[in-house]
Amino acid sequence: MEQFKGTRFKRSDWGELRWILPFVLPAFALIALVILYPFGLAMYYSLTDYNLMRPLSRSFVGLGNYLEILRSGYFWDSLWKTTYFTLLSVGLEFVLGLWAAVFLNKKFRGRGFLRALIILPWALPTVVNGMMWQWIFDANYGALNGLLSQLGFIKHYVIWLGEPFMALNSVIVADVWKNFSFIALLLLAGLQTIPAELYEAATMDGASGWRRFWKVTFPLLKPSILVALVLRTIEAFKVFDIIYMMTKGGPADGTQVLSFYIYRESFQFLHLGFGAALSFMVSVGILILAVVYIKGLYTEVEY
Amino acid sequence: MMAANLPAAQNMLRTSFRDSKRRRERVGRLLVHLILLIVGALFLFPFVWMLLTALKSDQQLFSNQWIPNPPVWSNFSKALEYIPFWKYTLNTLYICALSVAGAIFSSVLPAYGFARLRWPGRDLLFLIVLATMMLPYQVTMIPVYIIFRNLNWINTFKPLTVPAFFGSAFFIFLLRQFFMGIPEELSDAARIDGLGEFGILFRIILPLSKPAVATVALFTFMWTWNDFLGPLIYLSDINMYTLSLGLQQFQTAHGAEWALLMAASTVVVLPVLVLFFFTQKTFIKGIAVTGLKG
Repeated sequence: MEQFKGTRFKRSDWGELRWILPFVLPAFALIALVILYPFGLAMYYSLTDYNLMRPLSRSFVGLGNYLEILRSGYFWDSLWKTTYFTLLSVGLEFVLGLWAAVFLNKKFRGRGFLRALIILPWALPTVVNGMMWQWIFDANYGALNGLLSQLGFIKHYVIWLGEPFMALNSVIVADVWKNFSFIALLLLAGLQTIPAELYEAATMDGASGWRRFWKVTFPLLKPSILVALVLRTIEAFKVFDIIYMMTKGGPADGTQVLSFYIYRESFQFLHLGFGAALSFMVSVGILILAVVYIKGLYTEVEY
Repeated sequence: MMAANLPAAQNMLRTSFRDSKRRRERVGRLLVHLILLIVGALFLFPFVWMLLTALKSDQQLFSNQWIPNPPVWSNFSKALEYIPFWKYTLNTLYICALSVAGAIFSSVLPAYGFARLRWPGRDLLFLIVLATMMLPYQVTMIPVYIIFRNLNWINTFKPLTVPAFFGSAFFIFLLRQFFMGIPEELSDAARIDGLGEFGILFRIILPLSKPAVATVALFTFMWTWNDFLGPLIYLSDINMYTLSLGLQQFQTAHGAEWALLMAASTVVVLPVLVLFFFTQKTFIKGIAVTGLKG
């Protein structure tokens, strides 16, 4: 209790501690129990050859797991696929989401209905979304091939999920359809906090719609954009469900992203030590991405 | 004559100019509507296709028939019998209810502590909480799995519900931002009236924070209802499956029961869609007012 004798806390404030502890202790519990303890454990496990098949005979291997990861072609391959997935899906989701948000912020009849409608893909369970798109992409009876060939765009049916690179792109389409609505939602919420007077002033000054967007909307929307991009990038970098549902990492490991690699190593091959080391590598990747975003978007806001 | 005609000519010119402008606007608006219609159709297409598939017989499924004729409504009842649907619904609802209660309960108290109380080390601790938000769950996934395994919690609902009661950094952050926006004078007045901190929280702050609490509840419900990896890792007894896990049973080694799967999916999606349809205003408000806007 020594530390509470700071300048701000006088003897008379001691009574207040009684009130404060119930509010603060849960936060301590959260940090210590749910985050720091597992975090430490993960770090320790990543330095061992912990295998669930023989949990008792685990030995310390130092950085062995990390070296093995860096040497493994699987890792670099998964990293490349994850990066491709993240960049393409978040990029498309952002463009579509921003467009939808700006549109839904205009005044027109039926706006409330459209606003409710646009959230629906995000509300769809990922599992259902994955199955739905798997069926749409079905090579023989799927809707996409049927539609494209009836409209005359393709002569022969395309095997969307049967070829590695095509499968990865197909999964991205399914992911974009579901998650662009999340970005639209966040940006719409952000747009609503921009005062209408600013637009009126800009219009009086003779700014065109395009200029109004770049000079008023975009700068003021930057905080929302930052949050949306960071959240989505982190999510996309850890993408698992939709891959599991649509392709199970296949064909020929064509959609084996990092999360799927971790899942396979940890929970199918039961190499928990190796899996823990992999998880750390992924986390480092996510942290780097987050820092890059925050740096990039925040420095511009200051000017 | 000239003088008399000049205003008339000007008028004519002006109207023709206005007409062409109006016509251009009309064409522009038509174009916008057309683009919207196409985008909207593309956007809705997967939903429609899901519903259409749900109503098809096997024969219709494997022909190039778009509209099921006649619609096979019995697919729905068949789908709900193909897997123990209601059992899975109950399992999922149980996990969801506990998680929502846990998330609200465990996030409200620390959020209040961070937003409205002064104590030494508060800001430092909050910074740490924020930092943990950046930590992807994958890092702790494996050790947490081992912990639950050692507790003999595998194949129970505990690993899926108990963590919610430890609070989440994200929700603490979200609620704190909202609480900070409530005028301090309200608390001071209540203190003068002899209300303790708990009284202030439950009688004054919480009633004013409904959109934020609703957002927390809705987010938790969504994440839990949709969670797949959690149940996949922790539940192995087929009777304990959640809906997202159970839906997989329509996919067998030799193909999937597409019509039944889509019928079941429609039933799974419906409550979520209805929920969203009616709460979206509160939800967007909750996001707009809380820290999510940055």
